Amino acid sequence: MRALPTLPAHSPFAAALRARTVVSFGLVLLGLTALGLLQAQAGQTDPALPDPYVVQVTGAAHGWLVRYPGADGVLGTADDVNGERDLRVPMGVTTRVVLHSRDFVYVLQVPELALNQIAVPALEFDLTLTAAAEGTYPMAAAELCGFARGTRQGHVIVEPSAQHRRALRQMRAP
Amino acid sequence: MRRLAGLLFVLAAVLAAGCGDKPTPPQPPGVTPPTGPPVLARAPTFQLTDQDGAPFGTTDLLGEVWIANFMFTRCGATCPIQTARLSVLQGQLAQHPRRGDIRIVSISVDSDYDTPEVLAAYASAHGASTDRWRFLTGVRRDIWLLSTEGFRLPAGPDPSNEAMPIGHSSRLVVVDRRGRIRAFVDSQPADSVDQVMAVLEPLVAEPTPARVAKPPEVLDPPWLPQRAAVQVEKAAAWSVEHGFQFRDARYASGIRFRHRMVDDAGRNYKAVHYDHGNGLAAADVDGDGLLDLYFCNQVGSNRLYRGLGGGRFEDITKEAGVAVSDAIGVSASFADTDNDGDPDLYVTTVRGGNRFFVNDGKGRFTDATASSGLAYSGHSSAAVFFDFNRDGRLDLFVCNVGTYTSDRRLPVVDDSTTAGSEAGSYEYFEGLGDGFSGHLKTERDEVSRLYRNLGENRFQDVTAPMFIGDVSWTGAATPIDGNDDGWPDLYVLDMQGHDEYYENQKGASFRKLSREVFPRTPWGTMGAKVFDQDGDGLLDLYVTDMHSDMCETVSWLEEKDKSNMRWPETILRSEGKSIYGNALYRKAGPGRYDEVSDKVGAETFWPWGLSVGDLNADGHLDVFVTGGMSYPFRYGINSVLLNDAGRGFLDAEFVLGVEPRSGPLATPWFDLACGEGTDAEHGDCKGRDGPTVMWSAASSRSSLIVDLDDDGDLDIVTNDFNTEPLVLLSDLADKKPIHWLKVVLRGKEANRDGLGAIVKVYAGDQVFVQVHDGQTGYLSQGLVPLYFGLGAHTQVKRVEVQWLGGSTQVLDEPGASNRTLVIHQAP
Repeated sequence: MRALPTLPAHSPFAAALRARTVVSFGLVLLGLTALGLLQAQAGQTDPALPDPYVVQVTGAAHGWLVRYPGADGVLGTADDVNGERDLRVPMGVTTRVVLHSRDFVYVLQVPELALNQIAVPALEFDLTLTAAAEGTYPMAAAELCGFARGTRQGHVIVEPSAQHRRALRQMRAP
Repeated sequence: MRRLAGLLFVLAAVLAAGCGDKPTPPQPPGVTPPTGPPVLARAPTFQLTDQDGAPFGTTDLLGEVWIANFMFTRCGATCPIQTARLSVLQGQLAQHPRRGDIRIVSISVDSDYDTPEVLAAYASAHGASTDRWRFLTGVRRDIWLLSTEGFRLPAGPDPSNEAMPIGHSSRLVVVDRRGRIRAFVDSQPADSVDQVMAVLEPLVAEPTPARVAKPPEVLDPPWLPQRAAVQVEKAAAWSVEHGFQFRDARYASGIRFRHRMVDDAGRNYKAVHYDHGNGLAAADVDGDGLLDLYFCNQVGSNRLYRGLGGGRFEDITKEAGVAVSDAIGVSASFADTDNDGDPDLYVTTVRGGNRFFVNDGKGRFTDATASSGLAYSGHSSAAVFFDFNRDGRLDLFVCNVGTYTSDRRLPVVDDSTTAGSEAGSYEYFEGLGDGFSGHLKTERDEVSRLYRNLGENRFQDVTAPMFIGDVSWTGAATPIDGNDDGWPDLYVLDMQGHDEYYENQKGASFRKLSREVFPRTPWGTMGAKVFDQDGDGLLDLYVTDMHSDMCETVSWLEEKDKSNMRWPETILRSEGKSIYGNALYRKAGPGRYDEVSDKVGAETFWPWGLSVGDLNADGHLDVFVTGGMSYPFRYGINSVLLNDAGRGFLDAEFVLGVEPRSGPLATPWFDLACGEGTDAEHGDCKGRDGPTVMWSAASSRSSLIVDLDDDGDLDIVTNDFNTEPLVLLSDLADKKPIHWLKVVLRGKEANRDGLGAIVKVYAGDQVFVQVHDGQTGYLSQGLVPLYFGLGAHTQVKRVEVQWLGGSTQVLDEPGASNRTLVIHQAP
């Protein structure tokens, strides 16, 4: 095999090539980012997040337990990330929320995001959302037919996907 | 001195124990048993008027130790000594370090004379500091009964004493911080004050339980006065008769039944069907011509009260043999199943086995469940007798809700709130936390049952062959001749979805025609009644919807609106075809109904069932709807809808004295040992320490409208949840001349109760129509006379009875009003 010719590191040509490479890479990156944003706004996936992005929300003791996929992108594995009370969703990413309950019948209602679904022991329900804008919305763990009982108030937090990933990393950190 | 006090304490304790009838009840885990005198009984609740004319009652005394006595100001016998002793006691208490925790309550048994003004003068004359020593008055008959039945102290007329013909006890009753009687002390001995003080000391030392109402407003709902004022103001413009009042006469009635719940509606609260409570049933069980009442209970005995006339009743449960204290009861229905001329009884339970009792005609019953074919054990609710095949034998439809319990048995906990309840160890099946999703899980379906009466008290389950295998989560059903063919069809209510309508195929089978006849039905129905709402001679259908009102909290201003239902279709499963509130289906012809609930003002909030009767005797049928949810919800009212000449309903519960309910609006619900106690993890202990009594709003469940006191107007009796019933007597007949006719039907050999018959009464140019179906209230049933208010008509021209089976019997010129017409079916 013949070795490729090399250029002196400080030659003017090498410097120009490096600059061109950086610019090209930057343009590609910019293009990819723009494409990503467009995709996100179109309700498509963040390449860094699984498609579909599936999150599990479980009602328990008048609160919500939330489970996100970990680095492997698969829900239900050892590296899942567990949270509670708040449901974080990446902005612009189509997210499927799978609802369960450990005890009572809950209704997850966030009218601002048109979310309205029940969580029932031994049954599975789901809902899909693609939030276009950042925001924080109240999400109580309201018990169906038992609204007078205390519930722990949580929120749906819609955030940019990069921020979402950071938040999950922080939640995973010991 | 200390030894003397100790001796006195022992003496007082012995005296107190001798007067009681029940030892200290078992304590709930974590609640320290009292160390002072034993608990003798739960003190009765009362609401009277004090010397300043202000309302005063047991809710004002909770958390304090108090001493009660019965007296009257004109009394020259024991009263002066009582008052003198209490004056001395007051002086000693004034020096007591816990004086702010102790009160004296003197209740006059001569309240006709002892007005607040008289009592105020008496208090002043005896140096009473009325902040800590109240003098109370009220209705004399009620106070006498409060003494005899509530405090177990004699009170009544004393003919031997012409000057002061009232006899009463001279005992002082000592009540602890939790409203429990701990001692009776004779006031006449010279050392009686020492005795009282000896009893008081350990009681005052007992921790003061925190009184926590949930939600806090239930003790005194701030919106009730405003709501009452608005209604009263509106009533000024009404033309419909409303110049009469209902008064709670429970004490006077002799009815001492107190409903007791399972803990899943209290300390172990979960949103499950136990909080639907219980029903009551009525019939003349002993053939004496007087109506008897049967109250169902969850914990402890059901109770049968024999009518004595004049609105008085006596408990005959034990002799009758219908206690069913070994099961969590639900409902009861009377029917003459064997056509021997007396009402037999069917009782439903929660997994305790439904019971069938055969009456011997004298009000004594034999359990014939095993031989009858009616031995079902599940989550049964109402039971409906009707003759679906018109063979003259009353058949039975048993509504089954669905599986809302697990197999885990839990003990019912005794605590201070249950003191005075029936002794015994009780268990119940734990309710499932997801009971309200049961209709989504087919494995929890429980098919309601249709039993065909074979005669001689034997029944056959014909659910499958009659094609009426209904799996609705149903608590009730009503016969209804929807297509006017003379065969009783069946409307089955679903408390979690579409109601169903089954058309009777001339006794051979049933055909489900639900959406064809009733395209839209309320989502969460509890009660139904067939009656002529608009006076057009056609029988309409009114259905109440409780569960739609469980989707969110609303203010009283929104209670007349339909629910703003927001639950997702995944739980509703009704394809957008539900009504989220009450429905009133006005009949337009065979198989045709128009839903007019909003047009006629038929919406109510948190309704259970309804009872129908002409409360003002004007010829138009009015409605009483029980409402309210109890713990942990806010107070909900019972509704009275006066029929405005068929045009619609007028809300009249405040105008007529039904609301605010008599007595406390809230009642002790359960005890908790918070802080260091074993209930520390209980949700209601959060932020609290020490013993805590949780209070809940009172609320009614079932009801019956009938002339309880035989005075010619209609009264109301309820079965309330975890408290005493309401016995609401009307004073309409005292206020104005009224005209009415009561009709009692007697079938010929077959269907002796005449159930299913339609009666038309002609008076003047009016025709009044009612169906005799026994339907009333939630989980309730009554074989009671049909009551026709006649308005201004003093004469009845004609009565027609269309017996089930087709024959029509006509009584021309039956005569004057204001009497009971017993119609025997013509041969």
